[in-house]
Amino acid sequence: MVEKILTGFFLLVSVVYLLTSRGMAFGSMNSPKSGFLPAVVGVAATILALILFISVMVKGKKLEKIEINWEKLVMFLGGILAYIIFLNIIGYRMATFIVMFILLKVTKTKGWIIPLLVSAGVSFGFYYLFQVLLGVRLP
Amino acid sequence: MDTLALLLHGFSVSLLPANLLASTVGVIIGTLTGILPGLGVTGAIALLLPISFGMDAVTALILFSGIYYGAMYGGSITSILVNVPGEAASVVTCIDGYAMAKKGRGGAALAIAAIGSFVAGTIGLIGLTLFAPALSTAALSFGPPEYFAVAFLGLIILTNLSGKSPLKSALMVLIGIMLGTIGLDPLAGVDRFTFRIDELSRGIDFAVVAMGIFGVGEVLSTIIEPESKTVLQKVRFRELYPNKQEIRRSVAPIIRGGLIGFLTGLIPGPSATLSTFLAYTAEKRLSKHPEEFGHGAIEGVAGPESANNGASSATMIPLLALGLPFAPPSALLLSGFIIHGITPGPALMTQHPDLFWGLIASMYIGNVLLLIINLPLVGVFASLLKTPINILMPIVIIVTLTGAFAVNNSMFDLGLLLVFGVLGFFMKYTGFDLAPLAIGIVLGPTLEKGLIQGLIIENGKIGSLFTRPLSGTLLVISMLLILFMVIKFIIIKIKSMKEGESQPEI
Repeated sequence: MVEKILTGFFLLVSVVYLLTSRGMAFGSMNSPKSGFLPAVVGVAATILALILFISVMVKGKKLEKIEINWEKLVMFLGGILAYIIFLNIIGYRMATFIVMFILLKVTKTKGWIIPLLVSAGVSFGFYYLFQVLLGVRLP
Repeated sequence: MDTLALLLHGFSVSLLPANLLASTVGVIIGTLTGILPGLGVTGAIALLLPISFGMDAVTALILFSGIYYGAMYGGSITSILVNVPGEAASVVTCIDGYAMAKKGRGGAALAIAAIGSFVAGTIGLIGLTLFAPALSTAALSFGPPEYFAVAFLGLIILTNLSGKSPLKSALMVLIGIMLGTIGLDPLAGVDRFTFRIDELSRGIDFAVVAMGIFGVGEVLSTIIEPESKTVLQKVRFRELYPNKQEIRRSVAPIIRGGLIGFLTGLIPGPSATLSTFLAYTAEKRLSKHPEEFGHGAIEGVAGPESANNGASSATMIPLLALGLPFAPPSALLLSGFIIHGITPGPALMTQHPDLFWGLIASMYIGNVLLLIINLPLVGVFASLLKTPINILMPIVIIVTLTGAFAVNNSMFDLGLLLVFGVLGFFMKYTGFDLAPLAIGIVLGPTLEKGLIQGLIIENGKIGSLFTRPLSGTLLVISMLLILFMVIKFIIIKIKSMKEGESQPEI
């Protein structure tokens, strides 16, 4: 199922890319313009993606089934998404501390003291490393 | 003689305290990335790119290349002691390395892997020292059609060698090229595929894509795997020395592995991994005791482990001489060059001799450092395998997010990182290889520039690209390879239809 969705996604991307490239100047063979390569690549990608999509839809052979712990995956991704959203609002140290703690609990780190200590250490340690030592401007 | 003098000058650069420190740190980080799950060599270099902003260009590149070849050795530690390859290039080592460890000869296997890596790495470096300058000089006469042809052939070979399905790999190359066209068109100066999003005008940063697909994707794969207890084979210090018979049986495989690795490393694609399979097959065929393979034959460790290090040195040749990377780690090294305002290619050797020769000399030093550091510290590195994954993975994610933000100080990049992380995760499980996508992004602009300028030079006659000796030869080879792929695909299809079997992976 995942393979079908992903192949369909690549087909959609290729088609959108091809259609968008039609709005660009193609030029001619002796004076190619900005849309020249995108048009060529867009056509090739759409054809390949279509062949793959059809092949995936009709093929009998299944990929080796993998057990995905969806709950863990979604919660982990949710933590990362929350980090991206809140980073600018509450600042690097606080956002890192909170999200690090959440991710440690998602990965089933036992107890409260170790997750709290690790979160605090990572939050302040990375802030010091990136902002103070390496001069990166963190939110 | 000139080469020797320049190499000696390179040693004087690479032995400066800051560069020596960078080399040492690089090989240690490389070894760690080879050992720890969820942190591949490409992800590690991508992560350190923003950190290197404040460094001198030579120091930064010495650090990155140290990570690259250090990881080749680090991967062998986990293969031998726990039967888990840290890197794809160490998969073959598991077969006989782990069998040796179970027999109590894990120390000897590790020592032979380290010595083999050192010898083969040096063989590769001698090749790099001799061939890279020669290729650089030859490449000075390259025009846009030649660059187009080299990039095109590289991508076609990559498509053939990467992953299980050439069709999927070809699509990934094209998607990579498509991503490479996002942003300001360097030839015409117009925005393409930016959809009025300002952040897209500067294009999609390759480091962010690499951190996403190789970094975040790998972490996601690691956290969903069921927890497994690591059974670590113990190694005592006195067992680190191979006996006379093991040394005698390893000499030829190490040299053969080094040569196979070097030659394979020149081929675009997953050359380090491919070289290990070739070396293993060669050793099994040449061995007087093929029945021992799979049950702890030292040749099965010596050959492949030498080959992957020989290949990692050879991979640097197209990057340094032509500015064209054909493997994800060298593509990131290219990013490392670019963020420091340096364009690798034919002019690198003459315009930045300190960097060119300093980098090559640092690799000789790094190989010695790997041997000195890794043999006595193998126990320490092995104990890192007990690091709790549940704590390590969130830390890797936070450092990746921080690193991705630091590339352009952009929140938009963090969104891209997440998107490519999820994409990389699902691609891995559905048979889409990540390397062609990454290389497509990097080589796409070279391909476009070469094609557009080549067509303008040749007055739009595409056939003229075939009449120039070098570009013509390379393009004919590319066409033959495409034809080969199509015929192979049709034959397999017809066969499977006749036999009424399920369709093969295409």
